Amino acid sequence: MKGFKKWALAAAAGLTALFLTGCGGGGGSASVEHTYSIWLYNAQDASFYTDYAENPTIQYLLSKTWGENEDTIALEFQVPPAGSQQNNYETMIATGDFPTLMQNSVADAPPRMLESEMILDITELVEQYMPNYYNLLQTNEALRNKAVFPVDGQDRILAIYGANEDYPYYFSGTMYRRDWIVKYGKNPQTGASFTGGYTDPNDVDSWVDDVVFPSGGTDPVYISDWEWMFEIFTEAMADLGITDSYCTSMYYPGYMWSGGLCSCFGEAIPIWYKGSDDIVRFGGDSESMRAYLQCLNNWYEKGWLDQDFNERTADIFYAIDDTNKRLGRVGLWIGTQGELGGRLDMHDGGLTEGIYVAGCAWPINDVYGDESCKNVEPWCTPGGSSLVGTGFLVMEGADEKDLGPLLAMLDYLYTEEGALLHTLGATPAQMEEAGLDTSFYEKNGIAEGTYTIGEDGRYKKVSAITNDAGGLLTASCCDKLPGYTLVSSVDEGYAETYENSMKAWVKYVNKGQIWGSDAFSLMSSEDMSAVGDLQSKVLNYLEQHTYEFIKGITDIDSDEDWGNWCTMLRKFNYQKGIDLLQPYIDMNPFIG
Amino acid sequence: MAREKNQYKPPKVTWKQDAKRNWSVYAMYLPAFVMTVVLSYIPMFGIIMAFEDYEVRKGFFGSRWVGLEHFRTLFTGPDFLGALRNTVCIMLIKCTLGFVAPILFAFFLSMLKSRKYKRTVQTMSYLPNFVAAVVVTSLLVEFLAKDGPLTMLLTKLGAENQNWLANNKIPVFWIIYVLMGVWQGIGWGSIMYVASIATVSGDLHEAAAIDGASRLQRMTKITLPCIMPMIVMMFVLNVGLSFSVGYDSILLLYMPSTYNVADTVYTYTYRMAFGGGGNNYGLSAASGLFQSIVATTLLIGSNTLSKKFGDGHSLF
Repeated sequence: MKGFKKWALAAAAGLTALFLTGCGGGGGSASVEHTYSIWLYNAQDASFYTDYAENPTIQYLLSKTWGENEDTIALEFQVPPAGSQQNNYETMIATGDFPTLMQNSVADAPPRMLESEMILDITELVEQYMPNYYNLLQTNEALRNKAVFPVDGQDRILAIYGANEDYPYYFSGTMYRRDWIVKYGKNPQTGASFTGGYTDPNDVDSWVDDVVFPSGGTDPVYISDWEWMFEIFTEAMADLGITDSYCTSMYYPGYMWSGGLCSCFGEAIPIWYKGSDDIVRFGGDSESMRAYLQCLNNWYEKGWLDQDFNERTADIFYAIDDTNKRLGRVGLWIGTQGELGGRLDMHDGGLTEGIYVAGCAWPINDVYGDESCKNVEPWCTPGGSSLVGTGFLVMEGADEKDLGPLLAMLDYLYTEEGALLHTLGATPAQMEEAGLDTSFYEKNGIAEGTYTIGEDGRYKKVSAITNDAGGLLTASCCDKLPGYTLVSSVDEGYAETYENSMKAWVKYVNKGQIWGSDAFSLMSSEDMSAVGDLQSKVLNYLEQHTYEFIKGITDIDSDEDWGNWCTMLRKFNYQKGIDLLQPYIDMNPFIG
Repeated sequence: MAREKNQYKPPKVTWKQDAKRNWSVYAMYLPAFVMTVVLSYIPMFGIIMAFEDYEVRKGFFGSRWVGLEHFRTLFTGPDFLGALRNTVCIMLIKCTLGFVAPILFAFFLSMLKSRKYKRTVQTMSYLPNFVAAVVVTSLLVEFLAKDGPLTMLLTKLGAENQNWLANNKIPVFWIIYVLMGVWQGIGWGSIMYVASIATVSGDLHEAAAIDGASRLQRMTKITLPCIMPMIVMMFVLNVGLSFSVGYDSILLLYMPSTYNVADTVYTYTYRMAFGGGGNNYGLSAASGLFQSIVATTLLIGSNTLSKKFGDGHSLF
């Protein structure tokens, strides 16, 4: 019995200790002055390596010395498990256990973080250690708007942001079955049938055709072009015996509040946005919104629009009814790069046999609503492309370390030479020169590195990188750190048809969606909270009732129904949102 | 009286004396005590968030005090009453249909003669409990889609061909939701009853059988009264927990066009607090506090009622 008691006590003490240990933080031991911790939002593809410090370009950078005293540095990367970034960030705030540098993907706006003494004002540090970044801030408006904020009446640098040489290509966009246009369409000018096809059956991008749209070009530009396509798709589906599909679908609420198709009818989106005159407006009850809903209602009535779009709540906006799409039963959709060209062809004699998918830009309305809704370029686009890259914050407590060498290293990534490392990574030759292992390159089929110099003097990605569907380039270069990213200086190695599709997706970039913009970063917590509450209520209403107009449950052409809709939206006091947002837009109207 | 005088009374022992004598028992209790305090009592301080415009970076003491503002926002919200109605209705169906199903299942199991078959059925019935909500809801979405197997079956039986989860007429969604819960939890929920039925003396059944009682009569006149304390206890607990209906499953099943029937206080709060692009922790905490108070009231109320009308059977 005595023995049992001792065991029981030991077990109880052990359990208690274990439990209490679990409650504590796992404190790090890095105390070297030149060892810096960096928090990244997400990790690279784990099939290459599990710790970002093993990245060859990072190793190359760490093999060098940095700063006035030519110090070597060490980097420790912290990457939370996917999906737990917000929790991880909040735990950091609660414990005060910050890294040296933190990617600000989930963090609050820099001015509010400075006010809460969570980040450092790095103005003097940038001036002293980052001359290239500092110079770029003076000349690059987009970058300046992201990183420089007024503090006590003075402009202060609060963040280190990456900068892009040009608007980079985006991973997703609208696309359509051009092979159906060739097969079933007729030239709108001459009435002749189109001709086209693959010049090389083994090359998914070798498509050539003579398609001309009603607007006169080789790509769809206007809503009327889209509707012309829908007529052709309808004919195609009838001929192919597809009875339970549709020409296009829509994100389940009936709109995307960040923009896209709904912003093609005269700038507006259903919530607050900044107009081209820098005035904040609410678009939910605008004529643009009504024109948009009239368009979708018409598409729905004609059977062009997915009859069950509002039931597809589990689908991401770029993968709506994915199975149907991949079976070749849909005409136009929002998809990803991997669906362009002939990549969806399953070669099984089914509906994807001979498929050719081409990307297109958002359309300009030329059909619906009054003149104010017509011939206006799409104004708000979701996601999309930006001139500014990833941002980082220097966290409170980082000044206990000697930040000079770290910042000097980061500044190097804004030089011409460093930008190349940042964008395309170190070459095996550079690695060898630095006495580093080059097995990564051989193992991954890029023995000569990720690029060559093309005939036009641009950096040309090698085919292993161009054809890689995973994250080989990200694993090779150091673009997870802030730096200058080369865009127009790089020949992606894409086929012309493929590149045309990618270009179409960045034809219109976001100019008016306020949420997440630079002006938003300036907002006080109270104002932001008030706008957030208003937006929750408005979106809650829009989500529940927009589809009713589209499906004809309420009549979009009826002034009474439209009036009721407007009255309901006014009850949410959206004017308050305008009044709250306008002063911040006045302070910084730049969006882009 | 004489009998009462002779009754054994344990000697009075103080808490300290008991602890000294049975220190090993107290030591074994320590981890549970620490865990309860750390995980259940200390976090209760977070209730303060319900009265603040809480911001993580400012913490409990730095965030702005807003008093009852979040409660006002919650109760005057555009769809709050609808969400509350749906919550109460789903709770009621859960407390009737959802509560009775495991009891019946346990009864039927207890009547099976083949032990091997009984164990197989029992084990199989537990399995759905371990399937993640996202998988269960995905299955349900597929089965009840316009071309789903269950829909086809219902169509054959004369019902309209439709996506049943998109039906926003009362009480379609409520019943689907509760039946999903029954399918997932019937086996697991029956464990306590099966164990309780197993403790009922076989002599009683034997005697009743000799007296000519049928199986049904033995079930209603012997088994049911014997396990009534367990049923009451489970009912009281069930009522308390039932108000917290629908978070993950409903979020995965509902759609804007069915908010009018599927929205519960949880999902409504989720949209209001986190659906506008920001995080309104204060509103979320206020809703949590409201639901906890209602659940506790229901728990105490059902316990009182069961004590009054259930032959003195109650949880506490």
